Amino acid sequence: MGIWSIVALGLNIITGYAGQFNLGIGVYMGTGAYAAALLTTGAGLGFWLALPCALAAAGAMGFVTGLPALRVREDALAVLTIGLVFVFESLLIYLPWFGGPVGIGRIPAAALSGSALGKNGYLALVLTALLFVIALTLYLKRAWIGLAWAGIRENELAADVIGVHPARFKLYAFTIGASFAGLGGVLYAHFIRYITPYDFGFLTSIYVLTMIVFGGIGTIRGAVLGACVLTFLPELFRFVQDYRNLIYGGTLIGLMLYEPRGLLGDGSFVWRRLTTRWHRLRTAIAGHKAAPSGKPALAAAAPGVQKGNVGAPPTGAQESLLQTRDLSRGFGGLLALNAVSIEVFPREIFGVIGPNGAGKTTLFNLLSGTLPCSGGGIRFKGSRINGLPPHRIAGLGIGRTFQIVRPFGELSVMDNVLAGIGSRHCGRLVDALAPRGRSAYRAEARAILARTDLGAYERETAANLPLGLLRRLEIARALGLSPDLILLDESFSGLSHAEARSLLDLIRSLRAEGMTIILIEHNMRITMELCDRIAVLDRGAKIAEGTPREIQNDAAVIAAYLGAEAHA
Amino acid sequence: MTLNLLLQQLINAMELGSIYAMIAVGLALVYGVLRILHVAQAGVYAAGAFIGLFLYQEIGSFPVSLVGAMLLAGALGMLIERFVYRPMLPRPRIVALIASVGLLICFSDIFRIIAGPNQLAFELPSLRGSYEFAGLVISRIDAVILIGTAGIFVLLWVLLQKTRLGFEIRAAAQDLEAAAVMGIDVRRCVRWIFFISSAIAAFGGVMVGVLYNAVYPDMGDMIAYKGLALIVIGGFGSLLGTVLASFLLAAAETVLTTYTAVPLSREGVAMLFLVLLVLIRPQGLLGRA
Repeated sequence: MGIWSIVALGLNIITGYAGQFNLGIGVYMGTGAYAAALLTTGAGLGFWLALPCALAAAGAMGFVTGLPALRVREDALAVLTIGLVFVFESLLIYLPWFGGPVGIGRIPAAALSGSALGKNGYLALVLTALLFVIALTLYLKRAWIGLAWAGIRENELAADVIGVHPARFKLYAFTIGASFAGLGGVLYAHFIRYITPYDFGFLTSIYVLTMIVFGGIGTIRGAVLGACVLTFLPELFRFVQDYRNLIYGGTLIGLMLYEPRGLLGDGSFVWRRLTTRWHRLRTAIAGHKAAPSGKPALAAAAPGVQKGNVGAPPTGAQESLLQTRDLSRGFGGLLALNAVSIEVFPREIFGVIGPNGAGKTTLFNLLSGTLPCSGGGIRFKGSRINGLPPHRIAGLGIGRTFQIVRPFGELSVMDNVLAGIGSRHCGRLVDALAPRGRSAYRAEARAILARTDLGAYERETAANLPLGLLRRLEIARALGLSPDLILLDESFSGLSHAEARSLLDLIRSLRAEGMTIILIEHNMRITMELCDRIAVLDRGAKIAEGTPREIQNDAAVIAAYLGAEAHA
Repeated sequence: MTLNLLLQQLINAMELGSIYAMIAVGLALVYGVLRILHVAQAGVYAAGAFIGLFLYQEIGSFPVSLVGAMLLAGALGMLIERFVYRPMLPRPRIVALIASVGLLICFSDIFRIIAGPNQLAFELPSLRGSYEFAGLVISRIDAVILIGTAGIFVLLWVLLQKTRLGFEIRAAAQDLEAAAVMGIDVRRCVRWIFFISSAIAAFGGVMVGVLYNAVYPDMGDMIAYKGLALIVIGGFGSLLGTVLASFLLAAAETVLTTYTAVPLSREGVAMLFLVLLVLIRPQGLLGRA
C-alpha cells in the first residue's frame, strides 16, 4: 500500500503537476525494481548501496523516455507511453540478462546494521520512504519548479512566452517522477523478493493511473488515498471473488460519471465538505480566542506611478531598442508578412494597426519567437533574436499578451503573476528548486496586481475572471518579467470605457518608468491618443509609418484602411 | 519458390493489416469526432466474437450470425456512447479514457463470468479448406477476410463521401460545435459513428475468432492498444492514414519477425515500430503538422 502510494506520487508529478499524459509508469517502477534486483543478486551489493543506484537508473530512464515527450503531446504522448511499456516488457523477457519471463527471484531482504529487517521493520522502512516522498512532493509544489509545471500544464505557450522553458521542466518532471516510481519499484522488489516482467506492464501502469485519478489527480492526498483504496478494494471484495474486476471496472466508470475530479480532488464533493467543515471549526476556535482581524489593506501604493504623457517621443539620434529588417513569414502560398521593417526606440509607445488579416498578430508571433520567421531578421538591444525560442526572448526582456487570452486557468491570480516573476528566478535548476513563498516575491506580485487594478482578485482562480480582467491579468503576468519591451495584442478590445481609461493610464505610467510598448489596436481613438508613432500593415506589407497626425493624413492609409471601413 | 513465399507473406501481411484496420478505423472515427481514446473498443470487438459464436451455435447459419453480431455490437456501441461517454464530454479527456479502461475491465470480466475463462472454439467447417491459385495457397477464411474487409471499406467510403449522413459526419469531425450550429444533428452523427465503428469491430472479432478458431475475453486488447497507436500514426482522425498505417504495421511486423532476429516478441517489435514512427512523424502519416 505504501509502495503503491510512492509510485502513485511519482506519476502524480508527471501527470498531475506537469500535465504530461503517461500510461507507462510501470517502466520506471520496473527499472528501479530490476536494477535493485540485479545489483543485489548479481553484483552482490547490499540493499543500501543498490538503492541509490536503482533510483539513478529509474531517473535516467525517466529522462530518456521524457525526451520523446518533447516532440509529442497529449493523446499522442499517452499512446507513445503505451508503446514504451510493451517494448520495455518485451525487452525484459527477451534480452538475456533479465531472467526472461520467469524474472529474478531470491532477492535478499533489506537489512539494517547487519540484520535482515522483519515484516514490521520493512513496514517502517516503507512508511519512512513514503513520508520522505510526500515531504519532497510538498516542497517541490511550493518551489518555483511547481509553479513552472503548473504553467506548462495549464498553457504551454503562455508559459513559454513568460520565460519558462517547457522542455527543461518537462524533463525535470519525468526524471523526478520516474525516480519516485523507481523507489517504489525497489521497495516492491525487496518486499515480494521475486519479480517478473509482467509485474511492470501496461496493466500495472493503468492501475497506478487509476489510483491517482480515483483519489484526485494533482493532489498528494488523492494519490495516497487512491493507492490505499485500490489496493484494499480487492481484499474487501474477496467474498465476491468472481466479480472483483467487474466491481473494480464499474467503480471506475461510476466515479468518472459522478465525481470526475476524484474522491478527494480539488473541488470534489467530499473535499469541499471536508474543507468547509474544517474552516468552520477553525473560525469557531479563532472566534473564542480573539476578534477576527480584518483583512490587511491592499498594498495600494504602487511605486513611482507618475501620470501624464511624460516620456518625450524619441529623437532619431537615439539607438533603437527593436529593429526588424525585411521580416517575412509565409503560410503555404500566402505571405502573411512581407518584408516588414520597423524600428522602435526606447520609451516609445508604438502602434501597429491594419485591417483584419493584415499580419499584425503574425508580427507579434515572430517578435516573441512563437513562430519562426521565413525571412529577414529581428534585432533587440543590438543583438539578433530571430531563431531564439520564446522563453529565451522572454528572458531578454520582451513580454507579451495574447489576442485570445491564455491565462493559467486553474491557478490563482497571484500565482499567474508569480509565474511571470518566477522565470527570472529559476534560470538554473538549483534556483528553480528554491521555495517561492518568500514575502519579497509576494510583495512584488502585489505591487503589480495593485497597479493593474487586480488587487481585489488576488486569490481568485483565473478561469473565473471575466474577459476584461483576464486581459489585465495577462499584462500583469508579462510585467512580472519586468520586461524592457511589452507587446500588447488588442488589450483594449472588450473593455468598458472606464477599464480602457485605466489601462491607458497604466500604459503611460509604464512608459514613464522607461518601458517600451508596442500595441496592436483596432480602436482608432485610443491608438491616435496613445501612440507616439504608428505603423500601418495591409495584406502583410507595411504601407505607412509615422506620427498619428501623419497617418491620419496618409492617402494610402485612408484608401486601404479607413476608406475600406467607410465603405463597409 | 522465393517469389511464391514472398507472395504468401504478402497475403499474410494483408490479412493482418485488415484485422488491424478494422479496429483502428473504428477508433479513428470515434477519435475524429469526440477526441476520445476509446480503449473499450477491444471489449466491443470481443463482444462481437462472442455474440457471433453464440448465434452461430443457436441458428447454425454463419452469415446470419455475422450480421446479427454486427448489429448487436453496433447497438452496444451506441449504449456505451449514450450512457458512458456523453456525460463526460465536457470533462478533461483523461476522464473518458479512465472510464474506457473501466469499461474494458468490466467487459472482459463479464465474458469470463458468462462464458468461462477458457478459449472457446469457433468451428466453421464451411470456411476451412483452401483455394489453390497459381501455386499459391489461400485458405477460404483468408479470402473471406480480405474480400470482406475490402467490401466494408468500400461501403464505408461510399457512406462517408456520397450520403448526407456521411457529409454530416465529416462536418462534425471538423468541428463539432460549428456543425451543431449549422443545424446538423450532431448527436445522431455520434450515435451512427459508434454504431458503425462497433459493427466493423464485431466483423473483425468474428472473423479473427474463426481464423484462429478461438474466442476468449481479452482477445481484442492487444489489437486495440496497437489500434490507438495506429490512429496516431495515421494522423489523428484521418481514416485513410489509419488504414495505410495498419497495413504498414502489418507488413513491418511480418517482415521483421520472419527475416530478422530481433530479440523481442512480436508485440514488442510492433510497438517499437509504432514508437519510432510516432517519434519520426508526430503529426502522423497523413496528418497536418
